[in-house]
Amino acid sequence: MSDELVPVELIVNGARRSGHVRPRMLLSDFLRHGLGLTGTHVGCEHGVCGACTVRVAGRPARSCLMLAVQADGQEVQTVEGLAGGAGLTELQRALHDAHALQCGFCTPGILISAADLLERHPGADRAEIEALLSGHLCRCTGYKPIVDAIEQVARSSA
Amino acid sequence: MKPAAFDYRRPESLEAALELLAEHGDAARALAGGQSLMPLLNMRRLRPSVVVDITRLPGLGGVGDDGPMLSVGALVTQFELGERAGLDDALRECLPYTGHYATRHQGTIGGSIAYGEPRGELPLTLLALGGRAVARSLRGEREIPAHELYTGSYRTSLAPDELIVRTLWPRARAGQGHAFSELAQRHGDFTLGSAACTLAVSDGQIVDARIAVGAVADRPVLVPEAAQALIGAPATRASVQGAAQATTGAVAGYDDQFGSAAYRRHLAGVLVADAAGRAMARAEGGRP
Repeated sequence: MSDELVPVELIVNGARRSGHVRPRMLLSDFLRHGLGLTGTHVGCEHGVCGACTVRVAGRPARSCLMLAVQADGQEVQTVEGLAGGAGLTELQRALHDAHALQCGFCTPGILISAADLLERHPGADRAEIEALLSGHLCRCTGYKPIVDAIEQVARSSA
Repeated sequence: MKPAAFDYRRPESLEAALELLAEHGDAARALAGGQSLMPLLNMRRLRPSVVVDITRLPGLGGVGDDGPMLSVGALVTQFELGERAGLDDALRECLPYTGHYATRHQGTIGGSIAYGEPRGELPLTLLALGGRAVARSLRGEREIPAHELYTGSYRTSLAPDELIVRTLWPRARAGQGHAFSELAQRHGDFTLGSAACTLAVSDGQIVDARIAVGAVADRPVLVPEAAQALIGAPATRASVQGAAQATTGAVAGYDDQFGSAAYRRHLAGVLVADAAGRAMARAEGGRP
């Protein structure tokens, strides 16, 4: 069995990034330790908590359930890439205004999933938003302000 | 919670992938959506020496008609299939339960069928509808009926060198209805109980039925006792209740931290009543 380094090259938040990884390295670890993108948080490391959710090739993915080598040649979007460096997105602003985060650990994953949902289903209703959040564990807010914030953005675009 | 070392291969053709599976046998694992395999690797409950990444293989996507069946490519994701217009009622109802928003964007139909999670929604629905998996190896291609696919907890009749390339899902004909029903503690979590059924009605009488339930055994099971209670009976609520009672009497159930065997038997009956009731209404032409 080889545990040798293999080269990978991917587009992260619009910028070409390359590195060398062992095949068993998780995408979450590569983003944080290889690229210094610590906005992607790592909670459970088996796909349950949702904190590490990013987008790969335009689809939401638990980055702890994907190998870094699998993302070779793909586009990856992390929470750092949502606003493109320019302030906050409407969704981020809505979460801020609704006090929808306290410790903030779960927030990056929620932002990625919610941004994806609102792109696919711009007028998503409350039930759809609640179903989305079943895949993101938050231990501070009680979820209501998060649902409120996402719903407000959905309503403004509907 | 990091995987142990393995050789990573990303073959560019199905033929090359099948050669790797043939060469390494049980020491290799095919990686599709990874939503079940990756947690097992992270927890080191599985330590394959070779991981064969099939996610970019050509020819394993796509959804289309195959006679009276819907043919679903192995790499079609749970989310992608769920977004499809005009999808079969039972499939449409079961897909949201297969996982969370992000995991359904990665989890594949072929992977779910091959993995054989004992409480899995897709294996159960394939069984209830009488569907098939199409498996390929260097030795050729074969179709495996769902009732011959599952042999135990996470065990299937697939050989280590076989890969599911597509699955076949019978569509409801005129006079026939399909439905799926489930209870879980939280949306997207593992199921406490589930039921799927197909039912045909002619002139106010149930003429055919197939009932399957999940989370009562080490695999999804057909409940012929429930089907027998329905076939030949009038298409009424009372007949559906009879099938529910037959289910509770026939299935074993099991105890775990989420519920007792008695609770699971009861729940199986409740879910059969729900699914069979809706399938009956659909068979009669209503669309609840």
